[in-house]
Amino acid sequence: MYYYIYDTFLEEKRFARFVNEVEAQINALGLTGERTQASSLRSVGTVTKDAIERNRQPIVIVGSDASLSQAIDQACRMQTDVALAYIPVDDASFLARALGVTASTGVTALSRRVVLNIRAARVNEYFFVGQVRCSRLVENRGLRLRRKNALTRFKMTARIDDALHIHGEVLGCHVLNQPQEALLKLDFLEQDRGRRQKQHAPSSSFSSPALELTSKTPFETNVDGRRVVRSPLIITTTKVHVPLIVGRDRLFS
Amino acid sequence: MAETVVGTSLQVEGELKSQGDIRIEGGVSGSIETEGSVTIGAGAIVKASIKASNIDIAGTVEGDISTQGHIALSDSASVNGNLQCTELTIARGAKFNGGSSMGKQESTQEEVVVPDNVQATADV
Repeated sequence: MYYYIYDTFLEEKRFARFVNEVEAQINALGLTGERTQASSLRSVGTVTKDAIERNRQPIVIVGSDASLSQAIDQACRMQTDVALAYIPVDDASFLARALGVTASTGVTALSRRVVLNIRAARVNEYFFVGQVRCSRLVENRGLRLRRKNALTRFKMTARIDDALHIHGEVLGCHVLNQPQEALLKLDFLEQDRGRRQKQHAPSSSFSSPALELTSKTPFETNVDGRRVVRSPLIITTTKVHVPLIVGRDRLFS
Repeated sequence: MAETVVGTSLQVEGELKSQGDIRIEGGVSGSIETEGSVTIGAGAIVKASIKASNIDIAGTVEGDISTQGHIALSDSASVNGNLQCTELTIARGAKFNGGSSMGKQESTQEEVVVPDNVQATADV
Protein backbone atom coordinates (compact mmCIF):
# COMPACT_ATOMS: atom_id res chain seq x y z
CA MET A 1 0.00 0.00 0.00
CA TYR A 2 1.36 3.38 -1.00
CA TYR A 3 2.38 5.62 1.85
CA TYR A 4 2.46 9.30 0.91
CA ILE A 5 4.39 11.80 3.00
CA TYR A 6 3.68 15.44 2.18
CA ASP A 7 6.24 17.93 3.46
CA THR A 8 5.17 20.72 5.80
CA PHE A 9 5.53 23.57 3.33
CA LEU A 10 2.91 22.06 1.03
CA GLU A 11 0.26 23.27 3.47
CA GLU A 12 0.92 26.77 2.19
CA LYS A 13 -1.79 28.16 -0.08
CA ARG A 14 0.52 28.65 -3.04
CA PHE A 15 1.05 24.89 -3.28
CA ALA A 16 -2.66 24.00 -3.16
CA ARG A 17 -2.88 23.65 -6.93
CA PHE A 18 0.18 21.39 -7.07
CA VAL A 19 -1.19 19.17 -4.32
CA ASN A 20 -4.60 18.96 -6.01
CA GLU A 21 -3.03 18.00 -9.34
CA VAL A 22 -0.87 15.31 -7.75
CA GLU A 23 -3.83 13.85 -5.89
CA ALA A 24 -5.96 13.89 -9.03
CA GLN A 25 -3.27 11.88 -10.85
CA ILE A 26 -2.91 9.46 -7.96
CA ASN A 27 -6.67 8.85 -8.02
CA ALA A 28 -6.77 8.58 -11.81
CA LEU A 29 -4.08 5.89 -11.81
CA GLY A 30 -5.60 4.06 -8.85
CA LEU A 31 -2.52 4.56 -6.69
CA THR A 32 -4.30 5.73 -3.60
CA GLY A 33 -2.89 4.91 -0.19
CA GLU A 34 -2.24 6.28 3.25
CA ARG A 35 -1.48 10.01 3.42
CA THR A 36 0.57 11.75 6.12
CA GLN A 37 1.46 15.39 6.48
CA ALA A 38 4.82 16.23 8.00
CA SER A 39 4.84 19.12 10.43
CA SER A 40 7.27 21.31 12.29
CA LEU A 41 7.15 18.78 15.12
CA ARG A 42 7.32 15.67 12.91
CA SER A 43 9.78 16.13 10.07
CA VAL A 44 9.78 14.08 6.88
CA GLY A 45 12.69 12.12 8.35
CA THR A 46 10.74 11.25 11.50
CA VAL A 47 7.62 10.28 9.56
CA THR A 48 9.74 8.16 7.21
CA LYS A 49 11.30 6.38 10.17
CA ASP A 50 7.85 5.56 11.57
CA ALA A 51 6.67 4.34 8.18
CA ILE A 52 9.67 2.04 7.73
CA GLU A 53 9.20 0.65 11.23
CA ARG A 54 5.56 -0.06 10.39
CA ASN A 55 6.69 -1.68 7.13
CA ARG A 56 4.75 0.72 4.89
CA GLN A 57 5.91 0.58 1.29
CA PRO A 58 6.57 2.11 -1.07
CA ILE A 59 7.02 5.41 0.71
CA VAL A 60 6.30 8.35 -1.58
CA ILE A 61 7.80 11.71 -0.68
CA VAL A 62 5.89 14.70 -2.01
CA GLY A 63 7.92 17.86 -1.63
CA SER A 64 11.36 19.21 -2.43
CA ASP A 65 14.85 17.71 -2.69
CA ALA A 66 15.29 18.60 0.98
CA SER A 67 12.23 16.49 1.82
CA LEU A 68 13.49 13.48 -0.13
CA SER A 69 17.01 13.80 1.25
CA GLN A 70 15.65 13.55 4.81
CA ALA A 71 13.86 10.34 3.85
CA ILE A 72 16.94 8.95 2.08
CA ASP A 73 19.09 9.74 5.12
CA GLN A 74 16.65 7.90 7.36
CA ALA A 75 16.33 4.92 5.00
CA CYS A 76 20.13 4.59 4.79
CA ARG A 77 20.50 4.75 8.57
CA MET A 78 17.95 1.94 8.90
CA GLN A 79 19.40 0.06 5.90
CA THR A 80 15.91 -0.81 4.77
CA ASP A 81 14.69 -2.50 1.60
CA VAL A 82 11.62 -0.27 1.54
CA ALA A 83 11.51 1.61 -1.77
CA LEU A 84 11.25 5.39 -1.79
CA ALA A 85 9.58 7.41 -4.52
CA TYR A 86 9.60 11.13 -5.20
CA ILE A 87 7.02 13.56 -6.52
CA PRO A 88 8.90 16.87 -6.75
CA VAL A 89 7.37 20.29 -6.44
CA ASP A 90 10.26 21.62 -8.57
CA ASP A 91 10.76 19.71 -11.82
CA ALA A 92 14.21 21.26 -12.32
CA SER A 93 15.65 20.32 -8.95
CA PHE A 94 18.78 18.20 -8.91
CA LEU A 95 17.26 15.05 -7.43
CA ALA A 96 14.20 15.34 -9.68
CA ARG A 97 16.48 15.33 -12.72
CA ALA A 98 18.75 12.63 -11.32
CA LEU A 99 15.80 10.33 -10.72
CA GLY A 100 14.04 11.36 -13.93
CA VAL A 101 10.78 12.45 -12.34
CA THR A 102 8.64 15.59 -12.49
CA ALA A 103 5.43 16.59 -10.74
CA SER A 104 3.47 14.78 -13.45
CA THR A 105 5.81 11.89 -14.33
CA GLY A 106 6.53 11.17 -10.67
CA VAL A 107 3.11 9.58 -10.34
CA THR A 108 3.55 7.67 -13.61
CA ALA A 109 6.94 6.37 -12.43
CA LEU A 110 5.19 5.19 -9.30
CA SER A 111 2.83 3.06 -11.34
CA ARG A 112 5.71 1.63 -13.40
CA ARG A 113 7.76 0.83 -10.32
CA VAL A 114 11.23 0.70 -11.82
CA VAL A 115 13.44 0.50 -8.74
CA LEU A 116 17.15 1.27 -8.73
CA ASN A 117 19.35 0.46 -5.77
CA ILE A 118 21.47 3.57 -5.59
CA ARG A 119 24.67 3.60 -3.60
CA ALA A 120 24.61 6.41 -1.08
CA ALA A 121 27.50 8.60 -0.01
CA ARG A 122 27.96 10.22 3.35
CA VAL A 123 28.89 13.73 4.48
CA ASN A 124 29.71 13.82 8.18
CA GLU A 125 26.65 12.17 9.74
CA TYR A 126 24.30 12.58 6.74
CA PHE A 127 23.70 10.12 3.93
CA PHE A 128 22.97 11.51 0.49
CA VAL A 129 22.65 10.29 -3.10
CA GLY A 130 23.01 13.50 -5.10
CA GLN A 131 25.44 16.28 -4.34
CA VAL A 132 27.01 18.49 -1.72
CA ARG A 133 27.45 22.17 -2.55
CA CYS A 134 29.63 24.54 -0.57
CA SER A 135 29.60 28.30 -0.71
CA ARG A 136 30.78 31.11 1.49
CA LEU A 137 29.03 32.59 4.49
CA VAL A 138 29.67 36.14 5.63
CA GLU A 139 28.79 37.82 8.87
CA ASN A 140 25.87 40.14 8.50
CA ARG A 141 25.44 42.94 11.06
CA GLY A 142 27.46 40.93 13.53
CA LEU A 143 24.59 38.65 14.48
CA ARG A 144 23.23 36.61 11.65
CA LEU A 145 24.92 34.56 9.00
CA ARG A 146 23.56 34.63 5.53
CA ARG A 147 24.82 33.54 2.16
CA LYS A 148 26.29 36.39 0.24
CA ASN A 149 25.44 36.70 -3.39
CA ALA A 150 27.46 34.90 -6.02
CA LEU A 151 31.15 35.46 -6.65
CA THR A 152 32.33 35.60 -3.07
CA ARG A 153 35.73 34.00 -2.89
CA PHE A 154 37.22 32.16 0.04
CA LYS A 155 40.20 29.96 0.77
CA MET A 156 39.43 26.29 0.84
CA THR A 157 41.45 23.14 1.39
CA ALA A 158 40.64 19.64 0.23
CA ARG A 159 42.41 16.51 1.37
CA ILE A 160 42.02 13.42 -0.78
CA ASP A 161 42.94 9.96 0.50
CA ASP A 162 45.56 11.47 2.86
CA ALA A 163 47.87 11.63 -0.16
CA LEU A 164 46.83 14.84 -1.82
CA HIS A 165 46.30 18.33 -0.45
CA ILE A 166 44.57 20.90 -2.61
CA HIS A 167 44.24 24.51 -1.61
CA GLY A 168 43.27 27.73 -3.25
CA GLU A 169 40.87 30.62 -3.37
CA VAL A 170 37.58 29.55 -4.91
CA LEU A 171 33.96 30.60 -5.24
CA GLY A 172 32.74 27.27 -3.97
CA CYS A 173 32.69 23.60 -4.78
CA HIS A 174 30.38 20.73 -5.64
CA VAL A 175 30.83 17.12 -4.65
CA LEU A 176 28.82 14.87 -6.90
CA ASN A 177 28.01 11.32 -5.89
CA GLN A 178 28.75 8.92 -8.74
CA PRO A 179 27.09 5.74 -7.50
CA GLN A 180 27.92 3.63 -10.55
CA GLU A 181 31.66 4.15 -10.10
CA ALA A 182 31.55 4.39 -6.29
CA LEU A 183 33.38 7.68 -6.59
CA LEU A 184 32.90 11.29 -5.61
CA LYS A 185 33.60 13.98 -8.19
CA LEU A 186 34.91 17.16 -6.61
CA ASP A 187 34.57 20.28 -8.76
CA PHE A 188 35.93 23.61 -7.63
CA LEU A 189 34.29 26.71 -8.97
CA GLU A 190 37.17 29.07 -9.42
CA GLN A 191 37.40 32.79 -9.40
CA ASP A 192 35.82 34.84 -12.13
CA ARG A 193 38.60 36.76 -13.81
CA GLY A 194 36.42 38.81 -16.11
CA ARG A 195 34.15 37.94 -18.99
CA ARG A 196 36.92 37.55 -21.57
CA GLN A 197 39.10 35.32 -19.48
CA LYS A 198 36.30 33.41 -17.83
CA GLN A 199 36.02 30.85 -20.59
CA HIS A 200 39.76 30.22 -20.36
CA ALA A 201 39.76 29.78 -16.59
CA PRO A 202 38.93 26.12 -16.11
CA SER A 203 37.35 24.81 -12.96
CA SER A 204 39.23 22.09 -11.18
CA SER A 205 37.96 18.56 -11.03
CA PHE A 206 39.09 15.53 -9.03
CA SER A 207 37.63 12.06 -8.41
CA SER A 208 38.06 10.05 -5.25
CA PRO A 209 36.14 7.68 -2.97
CA ALA A 210 36.85 9.89 0.07
CA LEU A 211 37.74 13.49 0.74
CA GLU A 212 37.78 16.17 3.39
CA LEU A 213 36.92 19.83 2.87
CA THR A 214 37.95 22.57 5.28
CA SER A 215 38.24 26.32 5.40
CA LYS A 216 39.11 28.88 8.04
CA THR A 217 36.25 30.94 6.60
CA PRO A 218 32.77 29.80 7.65
CA PHE A 219 30.99 28.30 4.68
CA GLU A 220 27.56 26.89 4.06
CA THR A 221 26.95 23.36 2.92
CA ASN A 222 23.87 22.25 1.05
CA VAL A 223 23.36 18.49 1.02
CA ASP A 224 20.72 17.61 -1.58
CA GLY A 225 18.71 20.69 -0.68
CA ARG A 226 19.32 20.58 3.06
CA ARG A 227 21.48 23.29 4.58
CA VAL A 228 24.15 22.32 7.01
CA VAL A 229 26.78 24.53 8.61
CA ARG A 230 29.67 22.51 9.84
CA SER A 231 33.33 22.12 9.03
CA PRO A 232 35.33 20.04 8.32
CA LEU A 233 33.25 18.06 5.87
CA ILE A 234 34.28 14.45 5.64
CA ILE A 235 32.68 12.95 2.55
CA THR A 236 32.92 9.28 1.67
CA THR A 237 31.28 6.73 -0.54
CA THR A 238 29.49 3.95 1.34
CA LYS A 239 28.27 0.42 0.72
CA VAL A 240 24.75 1.39 1.75
CA HIS A 241 22.21 1.26 -1.06
CA VAL A 242 18.81 2.88 -1.07
CA PRO A 243 16.01 1.59 -3.35
CA LEU A 244 14.53 4.49 -5.30
CA ILE A 245 11.70 4.42 -7.82
CA VAL A 246 12.94 6.20 -10.94
CA GLY A 247 11.53 7.62 -14.15
CA ARG A 248 12.60 7.07 -17.73
CA ASP A 249 14.70 10.22 -18.15
CA ARG A 250 16.87 9.62 -15.13
CA LEU A 251 20.55 10.53 -14.88
CA PHE A 252 21.31 7.61 -12.57
CA SER A 253 21.70 4.32 -14.40
CA MET B 1 37.49 7.79 -16.26
CA ALA B 2 36.88 11.48 -15.65
CA GLU B 3 39.55 14.02 -16.43
CA THR B 4 41.37 15.50 -13.46
CA VAL B 5 41.85 19.25 -13.79
CA VAL B 6 43.95 21.51 -11.59
CA GLY B 7 42.75 25.04 -12.28
CA THR B 8 44.71 28.26 -12.17
CA SER B 9 43.67 29.16 -8.61
CA LEU B 10 44.71 25.90 -7.04
CA GLN B 11 47.88 24.45 -5.58
CA VAL B 12 48.13 20.70 -5.21
CA GLU B 13 50.64 18.94 -2.98
CA GLY B 14 51.22 15.20 -2.78
CA GLU B 15 50.66 12.19 -4.99
CA LEU B 16 48.32 13.04 -7.83
CA LYS B 17 47.21 9.66 -9.18
CA SER B 18 44.57 9.01 -11.79
CA GLN B 19 43.49 6.49 -14.39
CA GLY B 20 42.27 9.20 -16.74
CA ASP B 21 43.75 12.30 -18.31
CA ILE B 22 45.18 15.09 -16.17
CA ARG B 23 45.23 18.75 -17.14
CA ILE B 24 47.19 21.22 -15.05
CA GLU B 25 46.79 24.99 -15.20
CA GLY B 26 47.77 25.75 -11.59
CA GLY B 27 50.54 24.47 -9.33
CA VAL B 28 51.48 20.91 -8.43
CA SER B 29 54.27 19.65 -6.21
CA GLY B 30 54.96 15.99 -5.41
CA SER B 31 54.33 13.36 -8.05
CA ILE B 32 51.93 12.82 -10.92
CA GLU B 33 51.02 9.37 -12.18
CA THR B 34 48.31 8.35 -14.61
CA GLU B 35 47.44 5.77 -17.24
CA GLY B 36 46.15 8.63 -19.37
CA SER B 37 47.76 11.76 -20.74
CA VAL B 38 49.08 14.79 -18.89
CA THR B 39 48.69 18.29 -20.29
CA ILE B 40 50.51 21.13 -18.56
CA GLY B 41 49.20 24.56 -19.51
CA ALA B 42 51.28 27.67 -20.19
CA GLY B 43 50.79 29.20 -16.75
CA ALA B 44 51.25 26.01 -14.77
CA ILE B 45 54.16 25.43 -12.40
CA VAL B 46 54.88 21.78 -11.67
CA LYS B 47 57.54 20.58 -9.25
CA ALA B 48 56.93 16.87 -9.53
CA SER B 49 57.98 13.67 -11.22
CA ILE B 50 55.54 12.72 -13.96
CA LYS B 51 54.56 9.29 -15.31
CA ALA B 52 51.89 9.14 -17.99
CA SER B 53 51.06 7.68 -21.40
CA ASN B 54 51.68 10.97 -23.23
CA ILE B 55 52.76 14.35 -21.94
CA ASP B 56 52.26 17.80 -23.47
CA ILE B 57 54.04 20.65 -21.75
CA ALA B 58 53.51 24.38 -22.23
CA GLY B 59 54.32 25.46 -18.67
CA THR B 60 57.17 25.06 -16.21
CA VAL B 61 58.22 21.64 -14.94
CA GLU B 62 60.93 20.71 -12.45
CA GLY B 63 61.24 16.96 -12.15
CA ASP B 64 61.81 13.77 -14.07
CA ILE B 65 59.33 12.86 -16.76
CA SER B 66 58.70 9.34 -17.95
CA THR B 67 56.32 7.95 -20.56
CA GLN B 68 55.91 5.03 -22.94
CA GLY B 69 54.58 7.49 -25.51
CA HIS B 70 55.54 10.99 -26.58
CA ILE B 71 56.63 14.12 -24.79
CA ALA B 72 55.92 17.42 -26.49
CA LEU B 73 57.45 20.70 -25.32
CA SER B 74 55.75 23.73 -26.81
CA ASP B 75 57.45 27.10 -27.31
CA SER B 76 56.47 28.34 -23.85
CA ALA B 77 57.65 25.19 -22.04
CA SER B 78 60.45 25.22 -19.49
CA VAL B 79 61.67 21.85 -18.25
CA ASN B 80 64.39 21.05 -15.71
CA GLY B 81 64.69 17.29 -15.40
CA ASN B 82 65.33 14.06 -17.21
CA LEU B 83 63.04 12.84 -19.93
CA GLN B 84 62.32 9.22 -20.85
CA CYS B 85 60.04 8.55 -23.80
CA THR B 86 59.76 6.93 -27.24
CA GLU B 87 59.11 10.19 -29.07
CA LEU B 88 60.20 13.71 -28.20
CA THR B 89 59.16 16.97 -29.81
CA ILE B 90 60.70 20.28 -28.81
CA ALA B 91 59.38 23.49 -30.30
CA ARG B 92 61.52 26.54 -31.02
CA GLY B 93 61.75 28.66 -27.88
CA ALA B 94 61.29 25.81 -25.43
CA LYS B 95 63.78 25.60 -22.56
CA PHE B 96 65.05 22.17 -21.61
CA ASN B 97 67.81 21.44 -19.11
CA GLY B 98 68.42 17.77 -18.39
CA GLY B 99 69.04 14.38 -19.88
CA SER B 100 66.84 12.39 -22.17
CA SER B 101 66.59 8.76 -23.16
CA MET B 102 64.55 7.24 -25.93
CA GLY B 103 63.16 3.75 -25.77
CA LYS B 104 61.84 1.55 -23.02
CA GLN B 105 64.94 0.97 -20.90
CA GLU B 106 66.08 3.61 -18.50
CA SER B 107 69.39 5.13 -19.40
CA THR B 108 71.47 8.13 -18.58
CA GLN B 109 72.52 8.42 -22.19
CA GLU B 110 71.59 11.78 -23.55
CA GLU B 111 69.91 11.73 -26.90
CA VAL B 112 67.32 13.98 -28.42
CA VAL B 113 65.55 13.26 -31.68
CA VAL B 114 64.01 16.31 -33.21
CA PRO B 115 61.60 15.84 -36.11
CA ASP B 116 62.66 17.50 -39.38
CA ASN B 117 59.82 19.99 -39.27
CA VAL B 118 60.72 21.31 -35.83
CA GLN B 119 63.54 23.67 -35.03
CA ALA B 120 64.93 22.92 -31.63
CA THR B 121 66.81 25.48 -29.56
CA ALA B 122 66.80 23.42 -26.44
CA ASP B 123 69.79 23.37 -24.15
CA VAL B 124 70.54 19.65 -23.82
